[in-house]
Amino acid sequence: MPSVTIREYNPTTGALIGNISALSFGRVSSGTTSPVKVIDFAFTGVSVVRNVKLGLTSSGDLTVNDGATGIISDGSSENGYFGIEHTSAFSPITAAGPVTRHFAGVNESDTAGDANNVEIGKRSSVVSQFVYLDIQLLSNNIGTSGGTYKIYFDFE
Amino acid sequence: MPKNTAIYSCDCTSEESLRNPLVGVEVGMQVSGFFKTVQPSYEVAFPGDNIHVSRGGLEKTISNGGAIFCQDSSQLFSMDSGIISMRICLPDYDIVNGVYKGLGTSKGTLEDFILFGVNMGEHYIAQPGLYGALTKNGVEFTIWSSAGRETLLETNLNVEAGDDIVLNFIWDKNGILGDETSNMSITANNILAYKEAEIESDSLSDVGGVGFPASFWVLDTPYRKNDLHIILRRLEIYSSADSSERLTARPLKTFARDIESGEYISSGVSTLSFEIIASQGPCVNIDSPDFFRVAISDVDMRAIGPIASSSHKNGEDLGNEKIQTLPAVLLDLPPGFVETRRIEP
Repeated sequence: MPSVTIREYNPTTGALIGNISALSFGRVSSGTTSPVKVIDFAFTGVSVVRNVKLGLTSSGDLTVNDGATGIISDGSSENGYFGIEHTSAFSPITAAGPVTRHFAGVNESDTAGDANNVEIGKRSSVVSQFVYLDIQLLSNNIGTSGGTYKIYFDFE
Repeated sequence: MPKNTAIYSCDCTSEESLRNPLVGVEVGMQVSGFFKTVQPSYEVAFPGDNIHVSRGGLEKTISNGGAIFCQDSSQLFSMDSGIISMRICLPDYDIVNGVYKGLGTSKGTLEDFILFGVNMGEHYIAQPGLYGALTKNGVEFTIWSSAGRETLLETNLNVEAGDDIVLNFIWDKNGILGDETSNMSITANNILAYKEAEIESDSLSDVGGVGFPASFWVLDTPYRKNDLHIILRRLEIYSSADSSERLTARPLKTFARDIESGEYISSGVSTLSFEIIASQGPCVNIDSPDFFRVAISDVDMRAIGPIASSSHKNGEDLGNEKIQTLPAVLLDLPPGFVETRRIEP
């Protein structure tokens, strides 16, 4: 049975912190950007994965994008408030943030084919690239917000 | 016989209804042990419940050990194809991600909660056989033919205790759902699991030698090892899996084909929740100014007490300066001064 393990890394050293089931950005001042979270996805019970994509299916009440511009082949945009980048090797520069690419919007269709998903490459047949995530808060964002990233993949 | 006609169909209103079903009296379905009859109720009991569906049924408990069986399963279906459809209710525990939470409470010797078995032994099936069960790994459907044992697990089903579940176990060696590479599936309520499976056309009519067919058991083994609590509301059996009318209304998972290799691949999805706490950053809050009337004070700068005096040359530290602590209230006058106050009208 296929399963996926989400692993978090130290953004300074790149050392593995551990497996996670939820991502906590912690307390962030309004009007600023959160620290960058570095994660990857390891798949088990499969021989190969393809088309690994990350979507933002809900963002709480936080704004994801006011109007995406500069969208490139992986689906990410140059502007936005939910940062996402991915690299094959750990990059302390990217991890230092803020992340320069963003989700173009919310995956409202909740499907793997949604245009707002961002395609993540692979480091091996069953391990994704490193993924860097952050969130920029608006000055009027106050209080706790939560949402869901969704990982889509094909496997054999 | 039309392909979509049930071989056996029973509303499970009483033990007698099992022997005299709506369809299939001739297959000789029988009862082992006994069942408690749950009176029909048309109450809408949970979201998605249908007022037209009777919620009566036959209740198997730890004490009554009820089971249903047919001595000759070849009258119902073949190893080539068939559908076993059950509407059940598990009153005591939830199903979470396909796993029935009541499994650990069994006092019996079986790890699984058997829903049905063909060619059933004391604990498990023999080859050729079919097996459907609630297991610790999910809802299991196994087809064991001379081509090998193929097992499919459904792990996405979530049902609260007391809600009805419609389970369809479907197989066809020539392909189901209009896809030749999908040979067995489980639909559990509206969730579908499927896989490609090698199935051989083994005979079920003479597994123990000529004239000894494989028996079909529902809710237990011939040795009555199942001791969990369940209500069977409806049982339907079809000999053919070509039942497109039954299945097209259900949402089907998309078959993905790899562009490069042309091979079929499966899709998966997982979630990662996040939380962020937005707090006010460092800032200075300025209260609205209050405007008030100023009281003008006159200060008499004449000294009226002794005043110390000293002198020294530049660059010479005499070391005799007196260090005086500032008064707590800065508006206080130094010692020796008095304040007189005049308030203008």
